[in-house]
Amino acid sequence: MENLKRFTILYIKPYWGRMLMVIMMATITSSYTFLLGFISKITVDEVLQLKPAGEVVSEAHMQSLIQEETRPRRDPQATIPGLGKEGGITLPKTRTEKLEWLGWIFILYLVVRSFFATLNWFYTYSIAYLGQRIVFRIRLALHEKVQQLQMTFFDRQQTGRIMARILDDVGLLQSEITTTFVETLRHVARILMGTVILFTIDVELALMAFVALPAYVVTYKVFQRPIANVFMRFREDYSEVSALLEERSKGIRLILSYARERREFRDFFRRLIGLYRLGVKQSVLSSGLGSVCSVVGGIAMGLIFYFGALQVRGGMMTVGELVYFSMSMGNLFSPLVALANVNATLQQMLVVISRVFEVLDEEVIIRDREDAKTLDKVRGRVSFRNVSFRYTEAGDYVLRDLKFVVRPGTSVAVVGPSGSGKSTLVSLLMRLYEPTEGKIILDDYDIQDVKISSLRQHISMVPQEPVLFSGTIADNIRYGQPYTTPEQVMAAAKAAELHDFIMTLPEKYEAPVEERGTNLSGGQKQRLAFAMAVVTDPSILILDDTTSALDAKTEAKIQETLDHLMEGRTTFVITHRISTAMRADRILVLDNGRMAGWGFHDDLIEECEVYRLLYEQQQKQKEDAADEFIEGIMTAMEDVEKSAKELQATDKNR
Amino acid sequence: MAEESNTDKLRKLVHFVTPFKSRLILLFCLTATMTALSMLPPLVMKFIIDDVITMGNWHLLEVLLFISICLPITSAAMRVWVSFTNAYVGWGITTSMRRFTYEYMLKLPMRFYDEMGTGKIMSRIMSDIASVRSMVTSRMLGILVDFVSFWVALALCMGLNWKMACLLLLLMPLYFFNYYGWRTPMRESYSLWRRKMDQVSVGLQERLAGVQLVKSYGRERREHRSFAEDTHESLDAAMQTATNRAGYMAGSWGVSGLRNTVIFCLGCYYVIEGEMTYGAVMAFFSYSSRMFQPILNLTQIAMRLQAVMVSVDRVLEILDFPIEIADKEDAVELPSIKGHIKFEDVHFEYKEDEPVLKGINLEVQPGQMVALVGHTGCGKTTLTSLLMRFYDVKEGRITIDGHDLRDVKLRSLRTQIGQVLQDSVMFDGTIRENLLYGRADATDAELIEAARIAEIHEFIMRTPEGYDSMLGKDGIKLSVGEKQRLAIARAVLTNPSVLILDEATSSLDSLSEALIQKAMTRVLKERTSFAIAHRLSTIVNADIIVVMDHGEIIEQGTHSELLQIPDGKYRQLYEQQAAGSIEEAVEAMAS
Repeated sequence: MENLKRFTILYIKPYWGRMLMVIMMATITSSYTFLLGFISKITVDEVLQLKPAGEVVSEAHMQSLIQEETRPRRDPQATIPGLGKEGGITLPKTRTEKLEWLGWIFILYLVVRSFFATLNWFYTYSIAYLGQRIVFRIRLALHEKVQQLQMTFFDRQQTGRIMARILDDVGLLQSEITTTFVETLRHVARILMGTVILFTIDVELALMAFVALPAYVVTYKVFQRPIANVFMRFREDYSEVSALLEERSKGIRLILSYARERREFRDFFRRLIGLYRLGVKQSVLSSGLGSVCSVVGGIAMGLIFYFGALQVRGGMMTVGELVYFSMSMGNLFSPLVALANVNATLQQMLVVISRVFEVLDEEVIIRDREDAKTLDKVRGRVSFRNVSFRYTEAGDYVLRDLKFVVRPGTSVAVVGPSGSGKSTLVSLLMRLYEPTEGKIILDDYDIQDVKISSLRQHISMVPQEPVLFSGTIADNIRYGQPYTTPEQVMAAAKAAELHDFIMTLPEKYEAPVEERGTNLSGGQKQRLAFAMAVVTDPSILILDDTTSALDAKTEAKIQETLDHLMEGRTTFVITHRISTAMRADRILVLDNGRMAGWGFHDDLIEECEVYRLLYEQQQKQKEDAADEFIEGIMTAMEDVEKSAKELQATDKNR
Repeated sequence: MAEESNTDKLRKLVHFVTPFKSRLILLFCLTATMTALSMLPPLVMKFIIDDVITMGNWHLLEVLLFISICLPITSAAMRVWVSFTNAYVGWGITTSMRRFTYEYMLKLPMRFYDEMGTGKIMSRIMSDIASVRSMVTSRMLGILVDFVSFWVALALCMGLNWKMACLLLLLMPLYFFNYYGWRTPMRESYSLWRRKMDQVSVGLQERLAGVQLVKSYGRERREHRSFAEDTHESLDAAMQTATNRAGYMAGSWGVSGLRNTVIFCLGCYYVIEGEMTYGAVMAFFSYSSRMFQPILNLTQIAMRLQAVMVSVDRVLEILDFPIEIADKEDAVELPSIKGHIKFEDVHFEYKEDEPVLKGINLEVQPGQMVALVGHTGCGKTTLTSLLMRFYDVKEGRITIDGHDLRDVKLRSLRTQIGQVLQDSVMFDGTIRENLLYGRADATDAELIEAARIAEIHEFIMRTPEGYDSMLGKDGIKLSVGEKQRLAIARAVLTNPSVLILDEATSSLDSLSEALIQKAMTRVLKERTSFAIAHRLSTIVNADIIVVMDHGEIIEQGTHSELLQIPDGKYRQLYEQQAAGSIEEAVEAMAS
């Protein structure tokens, strides 16, 4: 309910003027059926002048019956209620008079109908307008929020779930907002109006009609809990089935290679059957509720007719009033049923609203300070001051007490076993995460004191697994710098050794990149990511294990590019290859989040055990390889010598 | 291929419905009866007003009371019955369709998954099938209800006053005019709206999946602006749709209003003239709206059916996909593999005229280790996929111990070949469940041994719940190396005769790489195996090194043989990689 209040204030209030109008229209339209009922009553009593007959007895006996009545009898022939009493309009007697009256009724009826048709049009349109507007606002708010949120949010939430919140959940709101907010009011208005009308027509009958009300409430209460339970279990099972399906179709290769199709199928079938049972249960329960409600309504209606007819017979009521009463009562019960359903949709809506707020209330931890400065130029001096970091409060530290300074324009290699925190370290520098303790200083600024956008503008990262968006190749290259000229794009592509490849494509730079770059090879994607980084001309460059996805030839080629690219920029090279690390000006060795070493290769070999171990391991592999290689060359040379000797021998023989 | 008619398409799906035929007939009968029953209350009212009140047959009142109490009870009972039968049939059809589709899907070749993608498969099995089912249980039923109520109501109206009934029929075309007038704009604006929403959704999906890129280039605000623009466009389209809808509705309200006015007043005129009783007018009034409701529905049904047909098409996209790879009728069980594998002039292409393998000839003796070397995209992975028979060769053949792969039972082939993929897939579940994936009956001892061989046992023991730790979204996160070692353990556990290791050693740090190499050497021993690796150092011991380029084998031999080929591709590759190493080695020796 707290959420509902907030929701109302945030998203309904801005439209209160329109909302009020819609509510007014709703109230007016709810009087529609009562009005029609009233017209019927007038027609029956005043124009048609239907009168109850006695027990197939003579008119005289009927008269005597009437005279015996002590209670005042309503005479349909007296006057039109409200109109007639003072005005004293006499009722039509002859056929022509009656027809004339009927003509007026016709006009009245037509006017009422067309008025309400127009009003309804306005109403439908306004409701749609409101719903769409409100949803639009919520979507924008959600999206804006999601864009601001830090990486930890995305680590926790799957893309699909965020999507569902922004699009599907909110879409549900749009159709429900109208029913829940406005229709509810409309129903309430109808019930109030109906109640008043019923009581003015006949108090006794009205009381009787309201006896049915508790029966409604009880029925609803009885069914509510099991329906909600089944509904929830159904949703859970359903999403489990979809999750299973998603996982299996992603991992199809595994299923096929272990020939597990039959077992997978059986498993899926078992879950389907569960869903089947719940589905049947759900619809039986909800139709049960509807049925019981309609039984209650039906019986009440029957009784009303019975007693109403008796009232008419006794002269306490006119025929028209009975018609009017029954029509009004029918209009009273239908909103009751609808109101019962409103609660269900309201519950559903509350869930959606709370989900919306779950996202909106997510704390934006990483955001610009109010007095955040804009970095115009960055020299590239980076210093970590006692930086520690953990992803969650309960989790272990991923980085502990890092302390080092990188001079502008130099390169640092970050080495260490996987899971030692290498990628986390650079994520901190980009302020994708906030250090738990300590500070990161760029030039003279704490990175928490500068505008995030200006910080990131000066830093480019080439990730291990490059991300590409659908669009053209050129679009992707200039992603970080949208106003790049085609020449610059081409220059960047050339620098990344991608130009030649692009030129082989039929559409050249305008060639489409499919979703997630599925039409490009790993190496091509990697080089595209390089080009992206080149275009932004960053002061700080981060290469996150960039070359491992490339084959040796491309790597060798790209290495030159990299060397060129790194010139004059502060560069962080994340790598697990010592040979790559040795090219850097400094080496930072990480082990389980701690700084295990910092300095030059030669010193680290002496001082840092982790580094030495890594080095020796790779060295051994390389020595093995080198041995093999030398051996290979030796044998090759021997072979050559041998063949040369053979040649000489044959020469001699000649 | 000739365009299939809708009937043909539906015919393909009809066998999902046939098992429920008798229930379906019952459902239809029940529904028809219920509809007819619902026509009674106005008649009861007519009797009360005319016969009881106006004519004074008061003794009928109790009877009518009795009827009007029994009616709702009967129809409520019927309603529960109908909804049970409906759910039973509907869910039955859905389940059997989903079941069948999933089963069928598992038989489909890899090409299907490559082309379709997870998202599309999901929506077809989950939502499209539900929509197809709704055609049977709600659309067809709805049409039946409409049909019954139209004719019953028409008959009753005729009985009450045939002149007015004829007038009603004359008013009917007005509804159609209204509908046809609004149909095109409604449909157009609706499909525009759908298109816009799709656009928003696709864009959002991509941006969210690549959120790191968005953030690292500081593009949040721009992304938000473009989202806002797209959403705004969809809002405009939605409002256009709403306007058209409201117009259509107002039109039909107008017609209804006219109809009601005419009937009411004309009815009253007949009462005055003495041709009709007022109760009859009221009954006529109720029936006339029951008669017109079906027409209003009818106009919607056409639209809904179109949506259903789209779903039918989509489901058939799966069901019509040819099972290219299936057991032949006379397929034999592949006997225990010794490991003599032969590729004979194998050609293959994923897409027409884009050959990936062009005439591969390769013979592998039992127990040999084959290393596949070459640039990205040269066809190494494809070659191993063909061996698993994920795809069928286009030309030539592959034999294992003399059996053509296409002549043996798929299951017997695949269970004997183990595969470790570059990006190893782990399913939601415990480590144990994942390891036992290929062989559910393995003992704990075997499990631990396999894990030891794969050098992952110690890691597993370090996790909070050991072998029962959960993997996946709620469980522990694995690094690439850990996943790979788990995958090796999983493969080892099935004790495959042939093992395929696909690029198993790239993008790892050297510690994990060392662990994996250790595991690999153990695993590969005594087995016919195929290894794809970028680091040549890991494959120098292979019995055969196959160098591939653009789908062809250009060199083949042992490490030392290949090095002797002057200007050989392998030699080039090796020199490139070794260059760095030698420098380092020389340096190391010097220091």
